[in-house]
Amino acid sequence: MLNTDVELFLTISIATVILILFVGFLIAFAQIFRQRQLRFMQEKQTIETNLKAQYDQEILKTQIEIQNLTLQQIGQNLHDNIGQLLSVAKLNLNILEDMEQSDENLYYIKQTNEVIGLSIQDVRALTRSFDGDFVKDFGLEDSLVHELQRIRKTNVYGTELLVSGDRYSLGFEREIVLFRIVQESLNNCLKHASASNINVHLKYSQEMFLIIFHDNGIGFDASMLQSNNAKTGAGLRNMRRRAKIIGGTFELKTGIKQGTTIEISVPTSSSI
Amino acid sequence: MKPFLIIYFWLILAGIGVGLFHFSKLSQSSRISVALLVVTLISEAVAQLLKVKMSNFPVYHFFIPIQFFLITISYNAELRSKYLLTIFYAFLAFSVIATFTFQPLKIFPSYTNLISSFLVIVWSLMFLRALLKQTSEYSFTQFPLFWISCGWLMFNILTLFHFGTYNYLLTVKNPVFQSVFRNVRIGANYFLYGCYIISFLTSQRQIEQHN
Repeated sequence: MLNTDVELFLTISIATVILILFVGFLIAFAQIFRQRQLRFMQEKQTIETNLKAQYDQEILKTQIEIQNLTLQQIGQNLHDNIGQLLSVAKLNLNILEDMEQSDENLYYIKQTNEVIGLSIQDVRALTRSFDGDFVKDFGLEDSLVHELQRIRKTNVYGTELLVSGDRYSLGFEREIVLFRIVQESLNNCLKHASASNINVHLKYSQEMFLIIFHDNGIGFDASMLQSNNAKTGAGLRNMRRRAKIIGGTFELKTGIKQGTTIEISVPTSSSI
Repeated sequence: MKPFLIIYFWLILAGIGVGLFHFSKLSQSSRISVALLVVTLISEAVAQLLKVKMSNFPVYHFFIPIQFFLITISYNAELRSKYLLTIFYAFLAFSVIATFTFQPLKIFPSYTNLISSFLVIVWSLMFLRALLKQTSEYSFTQFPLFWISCGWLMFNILTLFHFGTYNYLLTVKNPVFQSVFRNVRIGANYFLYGCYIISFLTSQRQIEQHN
């Protein structure tokens, strides 16, 4: 009887101790495994997010490059073909002007000559506007001056460019992106805003470069953009993404009959 | 036949049945484990038959090296270490020498068993370490060798002292110790073969090899 009790006690004791140790080992194993797995999943997610951001950035960069090339090509064709044809037409009109003409004919020839002269100027301006190299050669500010001049010449809009702070270059890659954003803003303004005045303010500071674009047009309800209307918001989304690619932020302030203000800020330390 | 033996044989048979039923879906190490269960069933049956008329110890002189070989190759299928097979050959040489010298057929091969138990513990810990080191999004319970390792760890920890001192216990004839160790061994056996059944039923994930 005593032997049976000892036997039972020993069996249970040994088995319990080993079982406790084993269960402890398993719990510790599961804990370490889970921790490592969580770390792995987090690292994997971070890598995936970074890769996606990198991929998006590359896509956008390519998009910008393709757009620049296409616009440059269009500008070149405009200059080489239509510009040439207009120049030949102007040359012919000059010859006609020098010939014996009735006063009425001479009036119309001069009128046409002026129109063609203006067309040649406009084609040249458009060519420069399309040409990304213009930004490379003359910088963002001069490119914007030229762009606003082109719009002012229509006599429909008053334009103004304000510059504050000490000027510096942001580098071609960032300046061309900013230039295209302003171009897109101008296009939107001309198409939809019914504005009479367009102001662009360039603010240079040590840490930040800021562009404030403002028109006094009819504005719009910004909350409509959040209703997932892909077509309506595509242009603005594109501008926002472009600002992001150069490490900047894009802010839109508008309301019905309140005009539209777009602020793009770019830290001077950011890169594309 | 004693009731615990009936349960023991039924557990091994159930393991073989489950293993064969899922055989096509099993990982390489699990397939080797099915073969191990078949070998175990045959040798245990032979050992039980021999026990009626004579000592069944000779069976273990053959069974332990075969069993250890199958366990080693099942771990090697995932760990892929050249040391595992090298150590097995050294173990085999020791086993043969032991059988022909200090622990002949009429004696239980306690040294061989002790060493194989110790090495299986090492293999199990190596596998668990490899499982911890690898980066996977799957739960460790989806790895069949995890269950088998748990089974072997528990079984060997519980029985290491028993088998190691088997011949000594026979000489001292202490019924209390013999009974205690026997009961613990029975429980450990049930746990081990239960783990084998679980391993055949779980997802057959394998440790990814990064070369």
